[in-house]
Amino acid sequence: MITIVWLSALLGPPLVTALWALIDKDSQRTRIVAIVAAVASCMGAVLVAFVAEPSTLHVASALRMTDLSRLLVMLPPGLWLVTVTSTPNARLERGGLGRTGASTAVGIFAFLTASPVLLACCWAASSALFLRGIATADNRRTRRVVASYHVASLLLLVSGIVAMRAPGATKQVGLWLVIGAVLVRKGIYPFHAWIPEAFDHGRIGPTVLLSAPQLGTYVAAILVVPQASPATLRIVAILSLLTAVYGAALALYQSDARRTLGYLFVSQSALVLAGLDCTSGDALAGAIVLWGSSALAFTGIARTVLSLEARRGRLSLTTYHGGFDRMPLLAASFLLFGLACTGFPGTLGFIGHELLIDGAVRSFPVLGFLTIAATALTGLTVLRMYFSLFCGKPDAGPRFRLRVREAVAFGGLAAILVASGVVARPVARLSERASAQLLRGRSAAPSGTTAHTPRRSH
Amino acid sequence: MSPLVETAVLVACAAPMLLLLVLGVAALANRLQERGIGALTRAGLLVALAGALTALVTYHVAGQRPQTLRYGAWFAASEAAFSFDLAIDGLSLGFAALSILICNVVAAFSFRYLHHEQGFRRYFFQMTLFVVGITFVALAGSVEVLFVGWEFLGLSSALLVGFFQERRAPVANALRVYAVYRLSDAAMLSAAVLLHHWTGSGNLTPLFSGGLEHLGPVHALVVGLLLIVSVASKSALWPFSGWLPRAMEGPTPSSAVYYGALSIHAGCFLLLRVQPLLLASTVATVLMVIGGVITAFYGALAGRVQTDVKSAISYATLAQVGIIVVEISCGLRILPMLHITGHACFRLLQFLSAPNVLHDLHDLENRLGAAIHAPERGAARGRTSLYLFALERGFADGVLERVVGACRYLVGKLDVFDRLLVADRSRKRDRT
Repeated sequence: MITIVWLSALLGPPLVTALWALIDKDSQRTRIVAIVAAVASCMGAVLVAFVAEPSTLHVASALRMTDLSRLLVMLPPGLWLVTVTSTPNARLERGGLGRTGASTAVGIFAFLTASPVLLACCWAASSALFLRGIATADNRRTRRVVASYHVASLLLLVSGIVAMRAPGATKQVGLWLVIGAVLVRKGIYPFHAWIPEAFDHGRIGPTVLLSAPQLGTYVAAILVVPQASPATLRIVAILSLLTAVYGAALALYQSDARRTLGYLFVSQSALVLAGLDCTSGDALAGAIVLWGSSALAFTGIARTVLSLEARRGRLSLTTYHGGFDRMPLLAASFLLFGLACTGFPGTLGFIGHELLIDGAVRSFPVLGFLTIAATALTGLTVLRMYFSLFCGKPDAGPRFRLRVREAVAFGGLAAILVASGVVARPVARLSERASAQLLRGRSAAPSGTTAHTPRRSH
Repeated sequence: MSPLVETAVLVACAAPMLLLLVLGVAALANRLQERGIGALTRAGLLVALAGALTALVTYHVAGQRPQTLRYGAWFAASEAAFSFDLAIDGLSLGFAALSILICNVVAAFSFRYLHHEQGFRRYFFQMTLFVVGITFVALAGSVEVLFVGWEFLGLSSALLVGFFQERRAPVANALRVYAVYRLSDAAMLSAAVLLHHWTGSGNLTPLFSGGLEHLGPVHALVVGLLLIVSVASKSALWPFSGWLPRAMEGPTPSSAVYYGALSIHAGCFLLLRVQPLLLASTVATVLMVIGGVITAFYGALAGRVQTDVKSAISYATLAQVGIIVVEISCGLRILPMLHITGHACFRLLQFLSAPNVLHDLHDLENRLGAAIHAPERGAARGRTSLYLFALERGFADGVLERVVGACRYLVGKLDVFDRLLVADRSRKRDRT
């Protein structure tokens, strides 16, 4: 009974919103319903994370409350709240609001399950919602490209899950197929090209809502990390580290805000996966913190760009657009989101980056420093974007102002990133518990996939 | 450790942090006017100064021994704990007191200098970020605190270079300055991580006191070299000096405090702190001597051909910074600290009085009805090439631009390849 109550608190509000959007034709009213539902869902998630006993949310492997789930379950409702609050009126659309609710429900459920079959279902559902979300009349090529990557990743995942049920060598093949699915979904080099494409020619809102919670990382944590051998994880980690630098370098090169966002996400997402696959306690804990901080911070950056685009049209980074004096809160929040992505002290990102870098260098004494290179390049990209989007001579156009709900969304998100970065112990403790649980899962794995003991050089 | 010293140090650290929080919220809420910001900043910085001076005086009068104040772990994971430690000794307290004193002077000057300026609130917020940063750098007892302070210095500096953000040049130059600072931050972070990795903690006390038994000679050399790179890029030592004239785009008070007084000397201070580590390695010592000598000559040469007063002063500062680095690499401790103190105060005065001197000069020229020129010297063999070398700032910018251009070309090719992967022809369309 209590399981149903908790599940209703978590999944009820987004599903009600999705249904409401089907019935009500007034998009403004639907937005109000969505905001109320998102607040309720956030409160439910916080209660589940801090109050619920693991036994109350346990139905075999279909529903399982782990320490990792406790942290992650707060992510989709939080991102949903920011999304529905900050979406500009010009971009508001009833169907879109419904899809955000459905995506949130899928995300929450995915983070609560450990069943490979249910994970594959969530994977497929989120991809379908995303592909529907980015559909516009003039981006058929983009949809085709993105769909091909998503279909490929789904096929790899399904065949991997099936193969992993078999013993011996087939199981190893299955594991590699799942890894392939994760690499494609997360945009790890050389499967990354669809992400900048989706940001560039698709729609930012759905792309962020699909990408930011990083379902691919969760699948890696549940299906790959406990089963894979240290050598396999090292390959994935090295690939991820290289992708992090690659994404950061390409982000700095771009002259368009949307493509920059795409590569920035590639880099951030790769850093999280790298930490997850280093299998040292610190790197894992860092990756988990970074997972949350980069999701929040990156959503903040992307929503800021979306708000600016709604007012000014497509944004080039080769000019200076001005506007700091009109929207100082938006500018300051943007800078803060960006700094959180670079691990600036005083933000949540700092904790994630510090732990991740420390653990990565411990696991890979040379290649671990790529995390620092990626961070340095991301810092430059962020400041370049900030200068371009908010500095320069104010244009002579209409004097846009930030709406109250947007100010609350951006200001609140920035405050959360700073508060959790300054009072860092609770987050670090929670992520440490989650990483310890993951490592225990590795230790308990069948023979042949022995747990990796962190190496120390001294 | 005397409780008075502990409390005073805490006050010196906490007051700027509280001020930063209040100014940040006030700036975003758009509530405080100039007078309110002035009163708050004065109060915050004076409290911090009182704390720093009380700690310094009590420390010396009571004849106390160097100690580390531990405030516990900021955050911790399975193997690493990130501690918040402050080092209390004559050097750290002296530099902290000097820094906060100079910031008080500059803040007082800035209230009038930036009166009715559009970015008044922004300026004082960024200035306070700098105060927090320099206080952390001065008092850092753990590598985490040092890194936090170092990052704060870099960001506030870049944002203040781009203070006049409605113009293109300051913003573009701020980005260039920040690029070099990122290199500095990356080197500092690498040193911090390696220190953690090799010693098992981020405690800086062994580095400051010469207790390096946990660190082998090779490890000490690697950490030392990383720290030298970090300091060289932050203090504009050769070959990282190209950003210095670009940084002069900021308002004069910020140029004074960053490139005349404190930020540029923060690197020297750090070298002085980790002197035992650097002197333990011959390679690091020789590198420091070479870097210092070249910087001193380079600064003296380039400073002589600058056409604006701020750049000329900044290069003159750089020449002295080079000399301070040489003093540190010679194993001296008291002389470099005295040099830093005296030189920081002198350059601060020069920077702050530069606008007045220019104003007086123009006034004099108007009254005379003719321009006043410096006396011309006769041509000498090699002088033209030397002049060209100084004017082009040692051609360092050109070399750097070529390297960056090559990287940009390579990344551009990768971008083209990425677009090909998704059959994106929009870039081609844009060109046509």
